[in-house]
Amino acid sequence: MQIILNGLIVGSAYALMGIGFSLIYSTVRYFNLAYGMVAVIGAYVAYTLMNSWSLNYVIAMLAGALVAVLIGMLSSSILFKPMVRRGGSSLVILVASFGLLIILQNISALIWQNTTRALSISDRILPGYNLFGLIITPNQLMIGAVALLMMLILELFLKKTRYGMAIRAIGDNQELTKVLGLKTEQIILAVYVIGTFISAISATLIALEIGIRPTHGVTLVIKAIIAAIIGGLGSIRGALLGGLLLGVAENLGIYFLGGQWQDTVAFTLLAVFLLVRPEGLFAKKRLVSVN
Amino acid sequence: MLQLYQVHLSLGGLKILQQLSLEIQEGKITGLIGPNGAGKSTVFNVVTGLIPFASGSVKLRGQEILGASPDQVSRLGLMRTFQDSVILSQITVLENLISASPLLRDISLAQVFFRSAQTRQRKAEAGAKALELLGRVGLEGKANSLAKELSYGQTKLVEILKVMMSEAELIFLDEPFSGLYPEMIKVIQSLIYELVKKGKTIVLVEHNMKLIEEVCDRVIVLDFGEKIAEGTFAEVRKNKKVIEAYLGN
Repeated sequence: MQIILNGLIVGSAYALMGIGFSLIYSTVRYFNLAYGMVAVIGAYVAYTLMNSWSLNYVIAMLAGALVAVLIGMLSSSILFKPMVRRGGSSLVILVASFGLLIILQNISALIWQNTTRALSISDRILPGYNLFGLIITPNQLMIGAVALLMMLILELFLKKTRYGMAIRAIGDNQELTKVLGLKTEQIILAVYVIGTFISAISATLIALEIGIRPTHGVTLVIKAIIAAIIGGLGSIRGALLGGLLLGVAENLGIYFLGGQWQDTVAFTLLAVFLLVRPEGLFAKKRLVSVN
Repeated sequence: MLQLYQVHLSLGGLKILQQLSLEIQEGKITGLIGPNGAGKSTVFNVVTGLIPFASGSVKLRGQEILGASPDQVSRLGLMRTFQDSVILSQITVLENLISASPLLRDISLAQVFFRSAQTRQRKAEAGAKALELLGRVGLEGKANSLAKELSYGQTKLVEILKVMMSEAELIFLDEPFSGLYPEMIKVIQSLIYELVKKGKTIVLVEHNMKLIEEVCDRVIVLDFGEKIAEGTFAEVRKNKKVIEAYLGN
């Protein structure tokens, strides 16, 4: 049970990562591989603010997320949007985002060095809480609580506000929303803001468990993609379940097979879903062959 | 209201619209008819910005709109429906109607974080209006269902209701009656008359000539992307070119 609880907690952060990715994908319909790296920079900024300015973890996390949002908006406005306007295919944008990932990864390595930076909500080692015989550390409590809070806020935002309605409408049929007069480019920019904010929060939460390294940009975007695909690309609820499932599977894999099998378990889970249920758990539209 | 002047469109060497000039009069229902492939829906697509590479001139209330994006055209007061009904299938029927209202068109980036009392009031009003419209066509029970659960006929109705929500002045209806049973046709017909009573201008593409005769004030006939006739239905039905276009030589 302890393994499953640990898996659910880290899975909730993966779920946030997947939700942000899915939210952006549902409106732009291309894969942005730099997504995880931008989130990691947010975590690095939080780390710097905590260590240099002695800021509280939550405040540093929010400040880091704002920096990530700025980078996310810039990457969308300067790189991806002009490519879309010029008719660049999703493959072209995928490659460009990979280039951006490499650039940001190298810049991060120059600034914060290529080592793992540890992050904790406190300088002291705090005792864990006993929850019906299961141990939950303060770091884990923070991850679970913040992830849950973020998901609830996002759910309310998407369901209750007109901006949320516009985002869901664009995710459904972008061409039609243009005909209806919606400013789709502006709404997509807002989606970038929200998605990047969520991802940076998630990366800062995950850093409590695994620390921060420049290469985590790749690791995290892969987790996001796996969670999003398992859940059904474009589905927020799906990404939530996909993230939780991934977290539990990885932790079970670590427990039974060893830490070096963590990524193998994650990719095996992805492969199983692609073979058995390629449209994911909550696909918006079932994939059909064009032939 | 709307003027097309020498609009030309070629795709892969094929001339889809050939120096097409026509005018849509304000407050009237104009039928745009012609055999299959005459270019009727293409005219809609060019004017609404879905096909951006035509040449010539398209003016809406004197303002050039050729080359404008679909959302810009829509915000200038032009709304359309599609031949194969297209609605937002993954959101609710009520949300579909609200999404066509000016409420979502006026959205700004700042409103991601802030929501004024005025915005809440407008959202409530749009919701109430949408529910009232749904009630008038007996679809109030479907308000909170996903739009994909609607039947074909109900989808056609929702498309017209979206136009009514939009407050657009110029409305393009692409085969709004096709595939519908007579009672449903009457409901849509009455909604179209209501729009005209409110001073809206309507352009109607339809293959059912009886309906065109009943509904339209004027008719423009296209063939191979050219205008071949214009006038009342009684006038154009006697036109030799029109008879040839429909029946052949």
